[in-house]
Order: sequence, then C-alpha cells, then structure tokens
Amino acid sequence: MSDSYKDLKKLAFALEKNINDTIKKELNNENIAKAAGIAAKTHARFLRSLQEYSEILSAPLNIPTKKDVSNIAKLIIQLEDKIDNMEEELIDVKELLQNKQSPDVSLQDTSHNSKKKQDNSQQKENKGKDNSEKKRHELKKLMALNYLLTSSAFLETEPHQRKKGERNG
Amino acid sequence: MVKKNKNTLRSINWEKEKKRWEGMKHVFTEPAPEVGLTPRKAIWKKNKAALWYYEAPEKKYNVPLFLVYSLVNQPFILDLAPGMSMIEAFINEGFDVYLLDFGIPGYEDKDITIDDYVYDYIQKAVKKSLRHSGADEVTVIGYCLGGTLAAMYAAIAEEPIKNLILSVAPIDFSSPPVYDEWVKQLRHGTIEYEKILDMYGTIPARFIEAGMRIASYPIYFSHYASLLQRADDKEYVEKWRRFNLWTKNHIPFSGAALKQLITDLGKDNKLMNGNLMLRQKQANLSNITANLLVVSTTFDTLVPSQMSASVIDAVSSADKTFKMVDGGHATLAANGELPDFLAEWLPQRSEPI
Repeated sequence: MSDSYKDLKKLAFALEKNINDTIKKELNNENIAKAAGIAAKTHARFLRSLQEYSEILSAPLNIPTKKDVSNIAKLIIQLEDKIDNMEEELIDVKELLQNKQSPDVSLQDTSHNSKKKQDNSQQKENKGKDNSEKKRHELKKLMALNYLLTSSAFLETEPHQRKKGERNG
Repeated sequence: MVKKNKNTLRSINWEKEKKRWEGMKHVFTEPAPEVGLTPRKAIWKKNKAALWYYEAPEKKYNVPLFLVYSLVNQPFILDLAPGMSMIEAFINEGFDVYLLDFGIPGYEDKDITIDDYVYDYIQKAVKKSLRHSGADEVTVIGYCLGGTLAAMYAAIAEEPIKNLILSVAPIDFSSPPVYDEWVKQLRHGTIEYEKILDMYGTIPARFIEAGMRIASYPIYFSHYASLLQRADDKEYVEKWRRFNLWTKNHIPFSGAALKQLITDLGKDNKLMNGNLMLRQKQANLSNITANLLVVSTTFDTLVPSQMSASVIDAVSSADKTFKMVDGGHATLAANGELPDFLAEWLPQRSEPI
C-alpha cells in the first residue's frame, strides 16, 4: 500500500513538472510580454486616476488617505533615526571617556602611592583626593556636554531625503 | 478476482492508514504551528527591522555569525522549531548568531531603496553586532536575496568581514533561467514597470508570492502528495506544516527597492559587471577579499547555480569555494543541523577559542 503512495507522489511530481514547463513555455512569448507591458501601463494609469480622485475627495469628506498616514509614520521613522544617531554618539562619548578614564585612574593610583610615602597625614590626602575626584567628574561632564553640543550628528541630523511626491514631513 | 481483492485488503496496514489520515486531518484542522522558538534577544531595532542575538550555550568560536535573510519571505525558515532550526544548529556548534530581520514593510516604507537596506540596515547592524560581541571580525551569511544584499554590502564594507557565505543568492543575471523573452522586452524598454510599482508603492505580499510562483512553480501541488506519503510520521507532519506556513508567508516589498533591483540587476546586471553604485560608492565585487563560500542547490528552480557560481571569478578573495549541494531552494535554510561541507568549512575559519 505504501508503494501506491510513493507512485502517487512520483506521478504528482511528474504531472506538476509537465504542467509548469508548459505554462512557462507558453508564457515565455514576445507577444505575451508586450501585452503584459501594455496591461501594466493601463493599470498604472487607472490606479493613478483612482488615487488622484481619492486624494481630492479626502478633503471634502474629511478623511485621511493612505498617504497622509504614511507621512506621519515617516516622521516617526525620521525621529527614530535621529534618536538612533544620538545613541550612537553617546556610546562613542562613553567609550571615549572610559578610555580616557583608565590611564587617569592608574596615574592617580601611582601618585596616590607616592604621596602616601611622602605624606603621613591620611586625612589631608583623602581630602585632596576627594577634590580631584570631584574636579575630574565635572570635567568629564563638561567634556561630554561639549562633545554633544558641538557634534553635528546631535544638532544637525540630516533629515530623511525628501522623496518625489512626498507632501510634507 | 475476489481472492485477489481479499489479498490486497489483507496487505493494508490499517493502523498505519489510520495514522496517515489523522495526520492529514491534523494539517488542515489544527491552528498554525509556532515558529522561531530558539531563545533570542533584540539588541537593536530600526523601523520594522530587528537585530536578534542568539547566544551560544557554549561559545567555541571568536568570530560570530551575522545572517542576512531575504526581503520576500520571513526569516523564521532559519528557526522552524527545535530540532529543525539552522540557527539552533549554529549555536549548538558554539557560534554566536546575529540575525537581521528586515520586518514587514508598510506603505510608509515604499521609498526604501537597496542603498538604504545596505547602508542603514545591514552596515549599521554589522557595526552593532561587532560592538555587542566585542569580536574583531564577523562572518556574514546571506540567504537568497539576502545573499545578494550581503554581496553588495561586502563590496562597500569598511567593517572587518572574515568570511562571506552566499547561499542560493541570485547575483549574475546575464542569462535568465526562465522567461528570457520577458527579460529581452524588459531590456528593450517595452515593459514599463516603473509606473505600476510607483502606484502601488509597497508591493503587496500576494503579488510577490505570485511573482515567485510564476518564476518557479506556477502550479504547486506535489507537496500534498509528499505529505500524504508520510502523513503517519508525526515529526514529518510537523516539519511539513511549518515549512508550508513559511511558503505561504510572503511579505510586501518596497517599490523603490524592487524597481532598483529590476533596473540595476535584472536589466543591466550591474553587480556582476562591477558598475553598481550605492550612495556614490562603487559596489564592485572585486572589493571583496573575505574568505568566500558560494553555495547552490541542484533542484533550485528559482535561483539555479549559474546565477551564483560566477561570483567566484569576480571577487579578489584568495580563499574561495563554490559548492553544489543536493536539495531545493530552501533546503539549506531549513536544515536542522550543519551540513557536512559547512561543518568542515566554517569552524576552521572562525578562530576556535
């Protein structure tokens, strides 16, 4: 019985192949291709009229068209792009600061050790360390702010290239 | 005659037949199966696209995999179900996997071009993957049209691509495998496709499915005969259902991108000829120096080997291989384990830890 199913499968494959080869052969014809070209042109013209009329009607009927909705969606996509660019810039700043921080810390550690040897007053040293830490944090913040404010990607992110036919946005 | 019939009836395994028809009933009555079950995490999202990260349970290679899937179907073919998932096979082998899922375009995406896909999606996603993984290099794997996009990206990439794998990717359109008369008319300018694509904006999924069918199997029923033959095998039925779900899940296509593909590739074969421009940059295949593996399958009617094989001669890679594998268009994407040739080629080029 299982052989029957196997035979049926073989038959189905052969039949499918024959039908498809015939369809492809018949469709692969210069006249059909030309006719399809004309049909596509006519169809496009009909669609354009339909869209134009629906655009005209959308105003008196007070309803949005697909274009209106997509224009809003495009604005959101542009915003997302800007946020994405900002995120990239922030990550770069973070990495930059982290890279700058590591040698500083090691330098401070060594200076801290040498100070320890020279100065026996622990309290004084801690105070000085706290101050330099604070200053370093402030400097870091300023650097980041400065970087962001001067970064072209933050303030002057290129708006999405306007495409032909786009109404607003 | 009666005796013969009695013998035939006796030879039937009724238990198996019962299972077979229950399996058939199951296919048509049960809800759609779940797909994409391998645990993953989105590390980046842009518009409808997402960059998914699949972490290897035990990482064995330093170079992660970056998968680019086609624009005509959904990428869940790469992760159908546990045991029938290419992504699962990759992570079980010890590769960290990043998958760029372009998502399902809406009408607002009608102006997305191939340039946008290459620069704003693929290149950005590769950068994100490199940053996320901390790796120095990446392996880019492109499936079907995703392979074409991956080749375009590799031709303009500034990121370190160690390996490039192009699986059933249509790149060389010099001799169309089917409908050469149509292509001739297209090249003569008789068929005006621009206006109709502009009018639709985003090309509906039904049209994309029809286009794919006409190019491969205008009439398609043999898969039901395959199912009937093995419907008593529960595992096969499950795989069949998932695969069938994928074949019916075409997605809309950005009109601007399709127009560009028809003009630049279908008509002018620019990628192969080396004169494709993507944002004022020449996407010449000779810029590709990564280790290259090009794979085609024997029964692929949609992208036969002549559309991929010649890439080998166009690139500058010192290490390049063309592999012909038994199977159809989606065989490699729907595999549950690493095919032998890939298990041999990929690990030695992925910096084992």
